[in-house]
Amino acid sequence: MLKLDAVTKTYRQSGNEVHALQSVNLKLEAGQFVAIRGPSGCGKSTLLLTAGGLLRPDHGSVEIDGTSLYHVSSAERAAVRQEKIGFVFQQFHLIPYLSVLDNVLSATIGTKQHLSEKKERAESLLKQFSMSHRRMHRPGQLSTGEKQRVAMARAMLNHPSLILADEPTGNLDKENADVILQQLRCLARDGAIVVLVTHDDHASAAADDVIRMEAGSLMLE
Amino acid sequence: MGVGRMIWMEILHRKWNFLLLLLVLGMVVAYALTSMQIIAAEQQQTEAKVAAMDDDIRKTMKDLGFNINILPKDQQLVDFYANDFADKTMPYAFVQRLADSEFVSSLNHLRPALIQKVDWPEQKRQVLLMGVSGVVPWTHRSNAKKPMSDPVPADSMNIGSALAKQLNLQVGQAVVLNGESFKVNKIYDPRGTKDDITVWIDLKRAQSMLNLPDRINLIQALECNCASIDRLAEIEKEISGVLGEEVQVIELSASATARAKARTNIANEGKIRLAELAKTSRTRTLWLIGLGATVVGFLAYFNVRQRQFEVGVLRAVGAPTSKILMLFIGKLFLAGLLGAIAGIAISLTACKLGLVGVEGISSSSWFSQVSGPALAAVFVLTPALAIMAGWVPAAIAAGQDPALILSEE
Ligand SMILES: Nc1ncnc2c1ncn2[C@@H]1O[C@H](COP(=O)(O)OP(=O)(O)O)[C@@H](O)[C@H]1O
Ligand SMILES: [Mg+2]
Repeated sequence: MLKLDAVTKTYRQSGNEVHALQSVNLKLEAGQFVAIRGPSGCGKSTLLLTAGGLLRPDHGSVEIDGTSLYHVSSAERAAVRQEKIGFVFQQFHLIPYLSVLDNVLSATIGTKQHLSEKKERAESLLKQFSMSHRRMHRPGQLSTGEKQRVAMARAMLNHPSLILADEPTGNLDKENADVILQQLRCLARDGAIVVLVTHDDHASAAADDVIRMEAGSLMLE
Repeated sequence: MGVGRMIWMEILHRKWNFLLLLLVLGMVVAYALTSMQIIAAEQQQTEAKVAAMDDDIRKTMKDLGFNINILPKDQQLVDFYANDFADKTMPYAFVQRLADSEFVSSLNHLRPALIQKVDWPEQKRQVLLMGVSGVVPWTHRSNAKKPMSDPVPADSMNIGSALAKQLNLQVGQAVVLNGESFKVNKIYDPRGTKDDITVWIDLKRAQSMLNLPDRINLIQALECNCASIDRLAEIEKEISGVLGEEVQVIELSASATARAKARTNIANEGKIRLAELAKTSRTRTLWLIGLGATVVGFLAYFNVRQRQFEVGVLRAVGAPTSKILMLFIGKLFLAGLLGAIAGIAISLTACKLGLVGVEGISSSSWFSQVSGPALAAVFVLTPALAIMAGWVPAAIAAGQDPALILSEE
């Protein structure tokens, strides 16, 4: 379960204040797939980073499966991210000098699993995304669609119960976007919470519910 | 995916950053090690110089041998010093009386001689002719096993180097001196004294040639072992106890003393120079370490800036802060280890190619000059230096807020 309670975030930069999140409340259960839509700059990315334990809110709390993310140590927060959260970004955010396989495996830094187990899991995900033959390639050698599939495999590596996807299809053609959206659907069907940020109708149609966001606030559509 | 692999891939990706780290650390290590080499070489050179002086002094003591000259009482010292020999003589019996005495204890080896400056008509030269016998044995003492210098055989002569050179004399050659024939028995190495123009022959032959039978004009005594500091007075007292007031005693140690002083000077100067050298190289090494640490800090900071993005990504996928710190520290550690090796290689190469410009430094002596603990220290301190210098940037990187980078579009 993901629960945001009165989450507020204000950016302060050179005297200017940007109210990116204004007392946001959100509660999502396992298996829910929601799309968050809204104009650029309304606070969508801020919402995902805050929900994912990467950005401490000014007020309010974020709870994942009973753990209040910002009331635990940063090490524990990192552990929650690793075990429970999978991020997918519009810009893919792959590490340029690591191979496809190593990029997927980068989600396992510091985990206790055996390397062979991790590798097996990574290989099977790459196979699932038809990327096995490119596992030794660098991100620079991949098309955007392929990059996002690798990023998707990385997000899924540790069997997350929460997927936070920030405009994952924003840079993709329809075919490649469908691969990602289909995969998000599958994850939700298998019991994960999926939060998809998008401003694309086609993408939001894949979700069960669509939430509108405007100027830092959520409103159900 | 382990931290080690991640470090390695990053190093391969940003080779220059790592190579610069290696170079900087290597230079610091190389400088420190080469300084050690230079100091060790200087020390060895000084020691070798002192040892050579010691050797020289020992030889001088042996050749001059006698550090007491006993002269006839009526000999004017002015003339003795001017002529290099005593014009007055004394009976050979004097030396025998000394040797027979039970009271003389501070004198050791006694050697009688008859010296005169004579013309060598056959060679048209003036030379110092020195008639010598062997050491006169003590009647009441056990004598030294080995005589300090051999007596000259009756049919032979020993010749000083300058004389032999000028007259073109060779060992074994037959020569005639004042109508008497001799064989050249020995030619001495140069000593830089009147010895170089001296001819040594058997005492008895000298006495007969100079028409002074049973007379001598010098008793040399070696290795006085006096109890008091005022040894000349002590010796005079002993000798007058045997010979009355018939002789006078002068100490003959100037040359040896001068050399001993020179040796002490060289040793002291060497010590001072070494201390100065050690001090400058210590200061310079410390400066270089400071400079190296600063550059390493900058390189680490630069690396952190370059890696903001991947750090953000790693944090997003759940890498703990400690592991991210490890990425940077591990790289610095590796740079330190390899930098130590690079430093050793640079120092070795510089010594081998003679780039150091100090005598006595070679690659073969390199390892003997660097002690095991010093090498171990290099391998511990270099990574430690790298890590300390890069710690702050690394900690900043590990703690930075990933949201900033990740939300950039
Ligand atoms: N690090 C930041 N510092 C200052 N302002 C920021 C920062 N990140 C985002 N903002 C501002 O906060 C608002 C919300 O940003 P964001 O969450 O990225 O919106 P969206 O993802 O919906 O485009 C925008 O006005 C943006 O300019
Ligand atoms: Mg955004």
